[in-house]
Amino acid sequence: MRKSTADILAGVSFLVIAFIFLVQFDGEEGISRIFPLGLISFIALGGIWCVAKGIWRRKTEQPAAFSSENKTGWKRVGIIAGLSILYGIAIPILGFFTSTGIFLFTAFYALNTQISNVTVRVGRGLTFAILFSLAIWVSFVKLLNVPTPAGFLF
Amino acid sequence: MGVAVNEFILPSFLNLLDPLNIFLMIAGLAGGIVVGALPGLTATMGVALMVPVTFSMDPTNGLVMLGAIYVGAIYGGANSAILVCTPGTPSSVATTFDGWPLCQSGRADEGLYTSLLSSSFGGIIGSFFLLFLAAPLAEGALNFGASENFWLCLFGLSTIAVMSADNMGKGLVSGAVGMLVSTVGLDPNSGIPRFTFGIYEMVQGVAVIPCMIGLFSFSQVLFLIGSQRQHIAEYHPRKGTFGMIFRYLATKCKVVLMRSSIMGTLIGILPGAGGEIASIICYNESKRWDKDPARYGKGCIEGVASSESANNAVIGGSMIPMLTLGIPGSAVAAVLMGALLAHGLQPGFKIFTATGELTYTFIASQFAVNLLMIPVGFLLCKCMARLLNLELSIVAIAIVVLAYIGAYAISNSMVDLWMVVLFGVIGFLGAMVGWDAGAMALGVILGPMIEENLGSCLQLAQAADGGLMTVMAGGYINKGLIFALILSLLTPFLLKWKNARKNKTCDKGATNA
Repeated sequence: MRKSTADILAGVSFLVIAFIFLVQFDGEEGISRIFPLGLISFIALGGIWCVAKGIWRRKTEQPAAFSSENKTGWKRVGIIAGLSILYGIAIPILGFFTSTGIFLFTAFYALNTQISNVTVRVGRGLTFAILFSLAIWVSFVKLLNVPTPAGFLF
Repeated sequence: MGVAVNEFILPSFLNLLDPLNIFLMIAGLAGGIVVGALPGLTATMGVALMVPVTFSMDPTNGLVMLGAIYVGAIYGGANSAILVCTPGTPSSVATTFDGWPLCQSGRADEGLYTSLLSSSFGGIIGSFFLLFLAAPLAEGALNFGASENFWLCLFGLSTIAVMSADNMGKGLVSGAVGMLVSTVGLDPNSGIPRFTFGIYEMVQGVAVIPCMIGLFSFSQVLFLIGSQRQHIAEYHPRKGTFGMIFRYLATKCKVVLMRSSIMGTLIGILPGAGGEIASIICYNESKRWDKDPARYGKGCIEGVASSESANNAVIGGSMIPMLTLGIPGSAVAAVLMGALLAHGLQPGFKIFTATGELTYTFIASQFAVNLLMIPVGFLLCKCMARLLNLELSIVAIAIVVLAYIGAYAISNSMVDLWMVVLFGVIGFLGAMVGWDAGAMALGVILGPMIEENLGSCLQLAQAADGGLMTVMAGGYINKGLIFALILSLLTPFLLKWKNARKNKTCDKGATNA
């Protein structure tokens, strides 16, 4: 991403946040107004500054001035983010450990495409899902008494 | 003092030679380190979980074990901060700044040993203050009111200026976003819900730990998965690293360690100012006073040493007001105080005489625990470092599960779990456009304290004769903190000016030659 683009996007995101909180800013009176309103104003000004800096930088920036970051594997990021969201939705429905097992297997299967043999991939995924779920249950529930979200199943 | 030494201090150290006490210290330390290393499971939770277990024990044994869990958990947070860029406890946020770069450059063992030895050193200094200077320091802490705490938090926040010196604008705005996020929930001044976005559960506010897990842990999962690497980082443990780090800390970091430990203890004494604030402030100070501050944030041993010595020194500090005044300096100290009361100990200055032997045994155990932490932590961090040899996809998937369970465990709320996802995505996308996750985390941590103390000051100013200036800038502590804050904010500019002057001199020299 070009530095100028990053500046503009950062500025816009700051402005969006300031706007969202400003819309929600309601009913505050007296001393209670000072801190949040001050922050919203500061963020909005920061956003404007970032956008202006990005526009100014774009004028002076060489076309080749790209940052040297490694390319992101967006497909893999999308898979883990999507599965994590589905996992969160499934927990109250299926129960924590059932959802965890399914998430672990699915994520392992989807992210380890370099294992070309499907049987091996399924076998390793199942082993990982069962062993890790079991380890979580023993260590958190049995040993540490940490509560886990409840669902219809286990 | 002589009477106390003969009557209580010497017998208390002898009590520690009891094999059961030694076993409980080792078990407590190991348990604490594991709890601390798991994101979401805090020192407070670890100690609170074990308090009921101690009811069946002798008070001495029970308190010794709880103290060991506290120490272990605060140190344990550094392991995950260094190995997977996920602070196990909020106290280890500053450890990620240099610990994670060390890990990425294949020097994870150096980071782990630095955190272990520095934590031990900081803990011993904190215990020393607790043993010998508790009474005068506790009286001094009473001079800290709302305005002093406000300036102290702002001083902590000024770290952003030093931390994101290359991108100060975005860093400061990121910090402000963090503070704005911390305003979600009940207004501390009026008690009215605000910024809840129509979601009832948001009235409880955005909890710090799920937010930290999201910003540092979940976002890191997305980065790692997107990086297409096979392992989190290259890990090549070398023989003699422990000795090398020990010598380095003993020779080149002694000032950093001593300064951070003393500052950590003093900050720990202040109620509400815990390890997270201490480690951030001490990291900032170490960077500021270093001859080459540019190396911080790139895998600098001193960075890890300052943060870790400070957060473990806080333990001794937080116990000073707890034991002498009955005011806990941190959440864990509050839980420990509950355990003290349950075991029949009444905090107050008389605690050192009426139940002297038990109190001094507890304090002495803190010295022993910090020394025992070196072998126990050494073995455990060697096991934890093996994480780096696992396939990256396995570690990343496991982190998601641990992040969810840790976030849920804070208050048994699914909202916390969604906060992890939300802040994870914000951290991931934000980093691409230059947001500073560290600055945002600072804002989330310090925001509530700043707002609460500012509100108190404004209310006081309405009643005070001299108005706001008298309340905010009156007294030598306020003046000192304001001076330190200005100095902190000016530091990046002073350093730039110094470097420019240095370069100019070099250029002149080269031209003349």
